[in-house]
Amino acid sequence: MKAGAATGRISGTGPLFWAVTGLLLLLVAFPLAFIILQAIFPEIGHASLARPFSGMVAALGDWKLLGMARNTVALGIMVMAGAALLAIPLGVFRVLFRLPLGRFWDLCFLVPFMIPPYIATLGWIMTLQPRGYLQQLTGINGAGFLFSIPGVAFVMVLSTFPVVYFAVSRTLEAVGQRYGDVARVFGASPLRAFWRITLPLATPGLAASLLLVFAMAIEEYGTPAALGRRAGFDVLVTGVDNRISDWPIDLSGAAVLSLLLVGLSLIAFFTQLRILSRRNYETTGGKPQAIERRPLGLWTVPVLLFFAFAAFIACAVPLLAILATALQRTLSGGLAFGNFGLQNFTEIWSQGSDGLTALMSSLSLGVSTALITGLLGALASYFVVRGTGRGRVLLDALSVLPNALPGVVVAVGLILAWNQPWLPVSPYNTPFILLIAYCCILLPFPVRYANAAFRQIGTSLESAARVAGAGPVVTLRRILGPLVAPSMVSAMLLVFAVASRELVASILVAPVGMTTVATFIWRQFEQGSVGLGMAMAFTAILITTALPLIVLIAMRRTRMVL
Amino acid sequence: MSGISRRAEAAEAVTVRNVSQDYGTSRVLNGVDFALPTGQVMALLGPSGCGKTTLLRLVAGLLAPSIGSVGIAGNLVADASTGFFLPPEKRGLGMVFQDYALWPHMTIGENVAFPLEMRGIGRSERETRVEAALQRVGLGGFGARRPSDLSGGQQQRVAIARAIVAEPGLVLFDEPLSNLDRELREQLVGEIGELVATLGLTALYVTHDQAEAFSLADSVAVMRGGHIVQADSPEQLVAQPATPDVAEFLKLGTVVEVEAHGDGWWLPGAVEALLPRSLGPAGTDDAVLLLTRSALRPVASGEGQLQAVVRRSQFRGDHHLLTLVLPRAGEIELSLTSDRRAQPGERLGLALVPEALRWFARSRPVPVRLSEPAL
Repeated sequence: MKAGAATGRISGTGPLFWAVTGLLLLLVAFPLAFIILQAIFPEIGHASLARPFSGMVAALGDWKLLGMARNTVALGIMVMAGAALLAIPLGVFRVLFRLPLGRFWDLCFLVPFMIPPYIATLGWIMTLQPRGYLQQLTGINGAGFLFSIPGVAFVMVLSTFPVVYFAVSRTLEAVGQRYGDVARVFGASPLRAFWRITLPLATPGLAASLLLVFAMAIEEYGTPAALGRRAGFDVLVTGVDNRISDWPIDLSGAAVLSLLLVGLSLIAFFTQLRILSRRNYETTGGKPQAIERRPLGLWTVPVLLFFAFAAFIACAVPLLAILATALQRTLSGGLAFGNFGLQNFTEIWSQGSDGLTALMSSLSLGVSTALITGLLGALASYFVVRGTGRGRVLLDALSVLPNALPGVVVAVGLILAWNQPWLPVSPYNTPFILLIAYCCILLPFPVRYANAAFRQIGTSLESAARVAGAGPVVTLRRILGPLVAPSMVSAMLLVFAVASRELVASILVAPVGMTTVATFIWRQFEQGSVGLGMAMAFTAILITTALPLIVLIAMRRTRMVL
Repeated sequence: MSGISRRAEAAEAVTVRNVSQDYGTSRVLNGVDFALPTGQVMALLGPSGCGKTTLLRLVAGLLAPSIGSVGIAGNLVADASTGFFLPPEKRGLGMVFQDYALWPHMTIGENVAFPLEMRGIGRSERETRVEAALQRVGLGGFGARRPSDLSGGQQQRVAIARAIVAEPGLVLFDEPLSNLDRELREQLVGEIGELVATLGLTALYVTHDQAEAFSLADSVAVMRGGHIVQADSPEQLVAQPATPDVAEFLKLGTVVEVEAHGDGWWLPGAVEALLPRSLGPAGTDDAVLLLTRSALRPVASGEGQLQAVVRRSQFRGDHHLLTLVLPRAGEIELSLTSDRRAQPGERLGLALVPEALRWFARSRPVPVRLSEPAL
């Protein structure tokens, strides 16, 4: 308490601290613990510790597991390589050269963030499958390519490469160009300055973004599930799904696979953190200088075609395929003028329809998740960044851990944990289990935003408030709260957008009879009306893009965001 | 080596001919002309925004001129009329930057070796020359460290080593000391001066600090609003400032506008003449006068040509800086050094030293303001 008072901070041991820690233990540690327990004790579901490690031995002895693990890593590497190949040249041309329509291309490459990968995948299936749009328009059937391992990687590259593109642009802008110019004064040709100075300086940022892509690729469910299964390509995520949802149910196997996946994610995540903390040159530069962009000259047209092609396949193809499918009265009617109509949309929006119910469920879950994770993330981050107590190491670990927990693992953990027979009450089979799943999966966003925001605020602002007579809680409410609020709102908008379209946990833990946007789209695609599913997909993209935009614009109007 | 042999030819190391530079619609350089003889150091001195850094970037080849031409060592390197432009790597330069600009992913040794490597010099010779250059700046044995391990002053020494290691014909300094604190700055000015003298460097040195410019440069070009107002030796600049602007920027004394009435020079609104008419230029009724500090000598109250009242007195270590007003001659403020402390409100007489007065033709209104003494 003394140290806390001296530095103008809240001590890390107050009741609020323990409340936050307790909630995170319940949200993050409890399910993870049961995955570990299940992996070791196969009978834990019957409250017995009999036959320890037998399940693990069986699972690890299964040759299929080795194949899945290898496929997972291979897919991660392929997606990483593809994203690098596409995004690095794009980023270099964007930052170092005078590229026409620069801002427009940036905007284009934001679009893939708004299309969930499983929806983009469905769009590609509609385009490339036999009698798909490509065949209808050009006669080419791309199904052989799409339902293959390269096909899976291709679709995933298109939804992840913007991460690398924006990382490359940012690092090049921050360091590469300025130091490259210095090299030229000392006699390096433009090409040599690029290889020796600009590229090495951009490498840490680039490597970190590629590891993020790797993590996204190995955690992704929708794309391998929709495309890979037909190619006989199983990864850990789909393996876990098979063991949980298909007969015979193998909980121990699912737990072992989950732990393997968490291990891979943890490696990717910590390598990324290490690179960024040890070799980040972005902050070492002097005063920012305007970049002198070089003219492209004869290369202008080819480079523009390259950008247009990337934007076309990453944004236009999936969006147009979804829209075209949603607008067709019957799929068999094909892309004919008379076959277009708004039927599917009116069906979704009609009173009491399954679609509207699913939409409302997802939107309310999205808003609740955003509010809970926003508050929890801000408080956890506050205690970690500004706290002094010993407990903050635990809190730090709990708030960072979900970064390495793929949705499918969270779902498995919740199934295992909340079905224990000795529990007096359980949220299982109620909508709250979905809320818990979403909160656990999406907590990292608010924590990351809040960490950055709290670190930017000098401690003297708090000290000044304390000296002026404000207690710790008043300081948090009147000074720090308002200062981090804009960041937190952005994080919560992101959480809202992702949560209201979340797929894998929704499929695995949604209570009986409850449909969300994602499960609605997924089931319609698998066995119902594809057009209806795509109308829902398009509606969901519009709503989850438009609502955050409206909030952001309103905030700017009221000057909440500077 | 090349620096010395070129000096023997007495060629001009840098020639800038009628150069103008536009950024969008604003003109940051306007008709700049100068030549820097080989073996000499020229300082470009001016306040921020005067265009001095832009001019340096033009010489470096980091910018191409909108109008005019630049030559280095007798060769044309940029000419706006033909569109000819030699990129920076072909100009054989060394350069020191304000923010050091050491490449953070390379060691100190790799940073300093880079210019040699670009010139295709073999590994063993590189190592010897890098170590020699580091020793010259007092950092021998630092080769394996990283820039982030060094203090600001050490980093700038490394940057200087990198700029001289290849013995370039021309070294450019872009406000190299302005990120350092005063003590370090004074120390490095001395060291740079020594290096320049022993290596016989030809250098262009951009700064806003007149002490730096005066102690390092053979000639100083004072820049204002995108052009060179005066380029002369430091002594000449102090003795014969070309315009009241230069005098004010160099803080040579108080600049005032005066008008001739009857047989005296008057400040506007004064009740008493400042000076007898005979001390000023003949044939004009108005002029701008620079009252240098050496033009005023404090004497007892009631004596001397002017009567002043002390407004403040500040002790400056080895002298007192007095701020005075002339109550009867237009309330102008003057500053004056004295070896004794004066009390605010105290009266003083001032004796004029006519030879130390500088007169300028009146071209535009000059604001009257307090000046501090030159260092």
